[in-house]
Amino acid sequence: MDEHKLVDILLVEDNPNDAELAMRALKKNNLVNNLVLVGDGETALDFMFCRGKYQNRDHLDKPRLILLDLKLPKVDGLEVLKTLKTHPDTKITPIVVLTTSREESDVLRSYDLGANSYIVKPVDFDKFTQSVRELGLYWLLLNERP
Amino acid sequence: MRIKSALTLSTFLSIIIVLTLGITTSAFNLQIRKVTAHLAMTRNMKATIAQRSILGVEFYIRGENRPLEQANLETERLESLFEQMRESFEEAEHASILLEMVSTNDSYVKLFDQFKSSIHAGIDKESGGRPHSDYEKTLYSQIQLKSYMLQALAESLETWHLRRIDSLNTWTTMIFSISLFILIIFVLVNSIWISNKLSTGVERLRQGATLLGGGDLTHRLSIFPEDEIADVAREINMMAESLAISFTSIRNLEHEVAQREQAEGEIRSINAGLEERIAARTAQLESVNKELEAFAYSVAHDLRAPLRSIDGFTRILQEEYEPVFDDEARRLLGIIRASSVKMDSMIHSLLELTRTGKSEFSPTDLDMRSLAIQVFAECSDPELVASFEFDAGALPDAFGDRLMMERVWLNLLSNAVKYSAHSPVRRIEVRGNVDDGMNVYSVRDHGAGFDQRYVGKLFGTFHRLHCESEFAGSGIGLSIVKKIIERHGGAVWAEGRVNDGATFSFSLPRRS
Repeated sequence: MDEHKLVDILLVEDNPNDAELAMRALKKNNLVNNLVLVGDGETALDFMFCRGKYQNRDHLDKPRLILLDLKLPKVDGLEVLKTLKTHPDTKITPIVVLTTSREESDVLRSYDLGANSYIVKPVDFDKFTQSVRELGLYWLLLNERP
Repeated sequence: MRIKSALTLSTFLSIIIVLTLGITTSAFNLQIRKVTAHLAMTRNMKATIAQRSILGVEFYIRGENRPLEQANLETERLESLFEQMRESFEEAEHASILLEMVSTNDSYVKLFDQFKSSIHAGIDKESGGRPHSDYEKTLYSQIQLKSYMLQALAESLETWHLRRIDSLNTWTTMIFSISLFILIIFVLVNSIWISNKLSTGVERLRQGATLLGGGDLTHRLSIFPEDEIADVAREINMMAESLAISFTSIRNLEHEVAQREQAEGEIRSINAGLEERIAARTAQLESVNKELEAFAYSVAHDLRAPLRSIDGFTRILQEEYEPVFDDEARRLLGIIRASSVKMDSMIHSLLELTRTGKSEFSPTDLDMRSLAIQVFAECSDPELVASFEFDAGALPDAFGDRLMMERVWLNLLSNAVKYSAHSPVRRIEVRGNVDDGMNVYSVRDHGAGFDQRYVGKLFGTFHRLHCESEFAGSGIGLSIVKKIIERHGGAVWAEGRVNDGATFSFSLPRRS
């Protein structure tokens, strides 16, 4: 009965339009079984460490994949990445960074902080869908729940 | 007087003195020898006179002829001696004695002859010895007297000669001593004079040289008296003069060097000021640049988000409400999507152009040929690329930023592919050569080409020579190429003809 509570993907995205498009892209690829959307970095961290409004969450229930936008209000995406990748409880969770452009400094910095991959959010929705499918499948399959 | 002349003169004088001495001495010697010979002759006379006197006595006693004859012989010898001596008469006194002797001898001989005749007369009368008559006795005593007189005269002549020898010897010794004395005095005086002259001269030179050596180059050595020292002094003076000239020019040089150093110092301080101002200006420019970058970044992110929504939701409309739309609506939706993609590509290109000017720039040695081949393979749609013949010649290695050079090749090669897509000849040639310290590379295609009149607009931002419907593009690619090449210190240029292909070339400085 706890089955539906298990979270597969945590999407951290502040722009609701982008979030909807991302979810649609995931949905088209049948990847959106258990998706949680949070709108800022602080909430994302609360979710991962089960605090604030998520304090009743099961500690062991970690998402199989985090899709993380870099431009976030309150706590910045890179900071979220850094915190998660340095904490022993969360560092094994794969994080795919969503960036607006191929801004090299962002990509390099993300990899530096331990990001597993990145997806450029292209204006062309079809390309985006394709990227999401490839990366999402890869990381979800790799991080198959035991 | 010059030292050499003084020395020559003194030597000459010494020789004259020695010669005079020699001549005088030998003249006196000759005289002495002559007088000595006369003395011997005189002594001979004396002996002869004595001998004759004895023979006379014998004859007086015995009255024989033998002593008489012997006495006659002695007389002859005496006379010949007189003759000999008379030939070398010199002194009056000497001559008077000799003359007296001759006359006395003559008297003697006369008396003796009378005596002899008387004796012989007596003998004729009566044979054997008989006593002498008074006449004979008187005669004989007179003869004896004459003989004594001769003896005395001979003795006085001998004495005279002895005295003469003595006086000559004295003279010789005296002249010799005096000459020697004069010579010694002369030599002494002369050497003292010359050494004095030399030492004062040398001392004068030493003092002068000390003064000059001490740095007083205006000092001049005295050139009086005119001698060899004066010659040396003159040379030293000339040397001092040229030294003074050299010294002055060295001073001037030092002065000039000092001035230059001062000027350099000033220039340095000006430069330092300039550098400070440049640093300040650079800092300003850097901050402006940072602001621009931040602006570009936010443009990229913030402008894209609505664009993504436009495209994404249009796409969703197209997919999920497909049956609701008629063809016109679908066409319009297509335009919306194409426009948003186009705008995205423009934003992307703009961002890239700004990135090109960023400060990260790490040049390395690049194999341009393999870089061009690698970039060409990925520069466009694989099918389109495969339809091209790519001819890459030998390209010189370049020294530049790898990512930037990749961008240059990508823009040039994708342009070549793009503008050749409608043409029958699908061939791209890449060439390279070294020209005047620069590596020159070119990309030639056989595509649409361009009108050479508008070549100046090719490399401008958002300038295009073809319309969008013909060849898609943002109009930024070549301006990125230009910016990159210029950042590397090179240049870009292009040649083309409408419908006859284009050649884009760029140069890069060789690694120094």
